[in-house]
Amino acid sequence: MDLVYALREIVGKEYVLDKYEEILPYSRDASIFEGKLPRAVVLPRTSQEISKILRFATENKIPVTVRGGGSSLVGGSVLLEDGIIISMARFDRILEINIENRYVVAEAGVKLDFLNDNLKKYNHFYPPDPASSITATVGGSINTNAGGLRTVMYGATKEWVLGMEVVLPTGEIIQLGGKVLKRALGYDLTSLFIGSEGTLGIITEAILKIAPLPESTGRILSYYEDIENAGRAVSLLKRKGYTPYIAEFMDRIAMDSITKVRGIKFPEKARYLILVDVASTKESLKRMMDEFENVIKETSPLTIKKTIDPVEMDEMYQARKGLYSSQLLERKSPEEYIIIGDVIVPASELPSALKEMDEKIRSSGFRATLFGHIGDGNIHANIFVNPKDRTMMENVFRLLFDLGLIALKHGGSVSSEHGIGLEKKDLIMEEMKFKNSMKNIEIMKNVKGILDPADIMNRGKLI
Amino acid sequence: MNLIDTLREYTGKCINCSFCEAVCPTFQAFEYSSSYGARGRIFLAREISVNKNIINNVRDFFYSCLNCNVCESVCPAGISAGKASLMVKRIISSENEMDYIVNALVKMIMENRSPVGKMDGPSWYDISMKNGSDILFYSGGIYSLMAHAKMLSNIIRNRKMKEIAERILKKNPDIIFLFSNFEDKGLMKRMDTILYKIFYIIKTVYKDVNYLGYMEPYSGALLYEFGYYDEMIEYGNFLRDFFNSLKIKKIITSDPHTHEMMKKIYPENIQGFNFESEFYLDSFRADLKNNGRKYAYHEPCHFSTHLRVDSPLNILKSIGDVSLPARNGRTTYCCGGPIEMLFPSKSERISEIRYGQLRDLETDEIVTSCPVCLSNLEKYGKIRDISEIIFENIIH
Ligand SMILES: Cc1cc2nc3c(=O)[nH]c(=O)nc-3n(C[C@H](O)[C@H](O)[C@H](O)COP(=O)(O)OP(=O)(O)OC[C@H]3O[C@@H](n4cnc5c(N)ncnc54)[C@H](O)[C@@H]3O)c2cc1C
Repeated sequence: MDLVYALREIVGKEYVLDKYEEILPYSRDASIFEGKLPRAVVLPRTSQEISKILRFATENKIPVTVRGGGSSLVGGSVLLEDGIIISMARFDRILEINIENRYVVAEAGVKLDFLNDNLKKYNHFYPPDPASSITATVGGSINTNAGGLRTVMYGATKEWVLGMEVVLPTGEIIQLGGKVLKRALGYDLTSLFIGSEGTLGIITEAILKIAPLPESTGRILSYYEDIENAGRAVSLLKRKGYTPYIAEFMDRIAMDSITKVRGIKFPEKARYLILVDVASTKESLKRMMDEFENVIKETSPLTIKKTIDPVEMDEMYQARKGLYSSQLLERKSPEEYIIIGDVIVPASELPSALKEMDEKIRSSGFRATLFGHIGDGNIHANIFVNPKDRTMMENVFRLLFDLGLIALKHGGSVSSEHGIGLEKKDLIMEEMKFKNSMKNIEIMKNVKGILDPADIMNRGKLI
Repeated sequence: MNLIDTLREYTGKCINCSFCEAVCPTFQAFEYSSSYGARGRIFLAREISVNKNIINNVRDFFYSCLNCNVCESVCPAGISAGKASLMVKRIISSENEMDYIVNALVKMIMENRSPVGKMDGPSWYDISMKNGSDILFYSGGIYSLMAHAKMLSNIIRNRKMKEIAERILKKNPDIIFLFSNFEDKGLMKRMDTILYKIFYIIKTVYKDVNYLGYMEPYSGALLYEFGYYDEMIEYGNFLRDFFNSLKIKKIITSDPHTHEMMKKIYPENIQGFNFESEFYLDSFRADLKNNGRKYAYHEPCHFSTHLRVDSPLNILKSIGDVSLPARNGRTTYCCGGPIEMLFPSKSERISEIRYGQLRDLETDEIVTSCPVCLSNLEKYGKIRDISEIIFENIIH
């Protein structure tokens, strides 16, 4: 049967796109990778429709890639072969907000900011907060185990998922987990789907934990000349028993791009910035901020600035969230792109790991910026590249590989929050070899084989 | 640099992060097809800049753009799908067979200084209001035009009727003139009284103000929004000469669309178009009573993203307790009005969503300061114009 006809029979004519001008935008996500044009883009509305689509795809061995917000930085939501894209955009409803039992049930296409706008009315929030939260969806962020600015205090997405509904590639609709905080029901299949990058099935809805909003927050900006000292700020805070609400790091190029886009000025001499947010009760905020400041002072910053002005804080918060794209203004030509390194090390290793990475980047000759969610040890390196220059691309992947090795050497991981996708398929192998855990890859492949026997889901990604 | 090169350079800054898509009202209204959203438009605009062959197949994607510019507000690289769409519309309108309804409206504007062929003044207009003062109250005729637009969109929302209208207009675009005789009577009456209150408020500031009523030419905003650049330039030149012939120094506008043309678009594009221009509430200072009522305020996009006019909101705050929906300020949510005449059902979907956001605030009244927003949101419930609230609470 003709593919487009079959899909239209399932979801209706309007919800299958197959004209060149309609499917073209689906050939890219936010990464540098260009995918193949899909044969069709399908926009289902129900799990039953997805079930029929996947059964049809499995029977006919049609490759499928699922797309949430399409903000993947590793090529996760583009298609590599002749197949279809399933967009989850119409799964856009919040189904239940339950404050008493501290959970929310949301469909997979719900955007994280939209979710939090709705929870705010109840003075609650869903803490996972990738910088892309305006567009990142519940389904996409679960599938990449997204982290973000608040991971330092609240952990990544996996800490906040209680359960989900999944449509398997063979068409079965299964319910995993539930609305309670704990269960002892054997293998934790809910966790299996977290970070699975659309390779095992399609999440249609999720039960997510929520938390009360902090009563008040304040911000400390400390500026450094020296990268090791900047790195020490967070490890020292943690050693002394303090947990920041947010702790971010950026270098001078990153600061300059924020100045260009947002007009926010930074001290001239500063080469590095550590941004620390403190969450507390109203009564103790001042005391907590003073205590944080005293610790930070021990790391020899050039200057420190404190604020509790919500407008000023929000301005900087939005600027940080848009940092990646702001850096595009630093491009020398429209052909130039940015490739993002995403590694993580334990907090205690930050000072030395940062220094090594900084040196590695400098010696590589690439133009790059360093920044990241330093509170959880996550370091990003944004490297300017021309994807059409093959030698340059080989060199940049070599550099990313080397940065990954530095992270491993310091007890960290080659992949912190953006996922593996197309970008890090070598690096995941390297980490497994490094940890003498190649068996893990075999287990992953076996799991994939059981759940996706026709191997249709996001082929060519992850492993 | 030619337009294609400008388009390539402009859209080349985009990295597809899709922040814009998340806030684009048409992405949602057109059932989440990417090409009907901000990200898709930038993507396609970039494609057009290297492969112009697709231009014939993309018209609807660009003409459905509301130009609300919220995409630019959230884009970390500062790109606006609205601006990219305007550039593409310019290419389409100069080279391709256009929508016949758009064509007819443009022809009317160019020939008769009104999209429907003639301008209606308010019923209370008196010729002595054309008093020779160099301060002009200029409504651009938009209030009464809303009543004609509503009639037109009521007809073309039916697909069959739209096809018939297009067939007729293809043969004879002048037929659109008939719409000068068809209007939504209720809306016309409402707009008439709103205009009266606006004029009253202006008079509290400028005692001696010139008003042309039915002799006003249209502002030309549609030429700009439909991408008819050359026509817009010609029209802007005409307006400049027209205002000069009346020795006008200052232009007071009363709606965001006309205001943007007078304040920004013409001065940036037309030589010698340098009249002082202000929105009628910018200089308003009269005493108002605080009535303690709760108001939800809908910010027109042209005020919050294009121009940053906040006098209506500030005045409303001095009258009562104002709540704003989550989508406010630079990320406000359009009323759907700009695509009312081309995609009526989608426009209504957007109006319905926005009205719902305002209603959820559970205030005593919903208020706005734009006739386009008012007539579109009104389809879903009660909404007042800021001038009506001021009029009721002014200490005379
Ligand atoms: C400017 C910018 C900043 C970013 N900052 C962060 C950050 O701070 N932290 C962070 O962790 N990430 C960040 N990211 C990366 C990315 O936005 C996140 O990984 C995000 O969670 C992806 O969500 P999405 O809905 O866009 O997913 P998509 O890109 O659409 O998909 C991501 C993966 O999930 C799969 N998928 C999507 N939906 C489903 C579903 N319902 N069922 C099964 N599989 C599905 C896709 O196939 C794909 O493999 C950033 C990206 C950008 C562009």
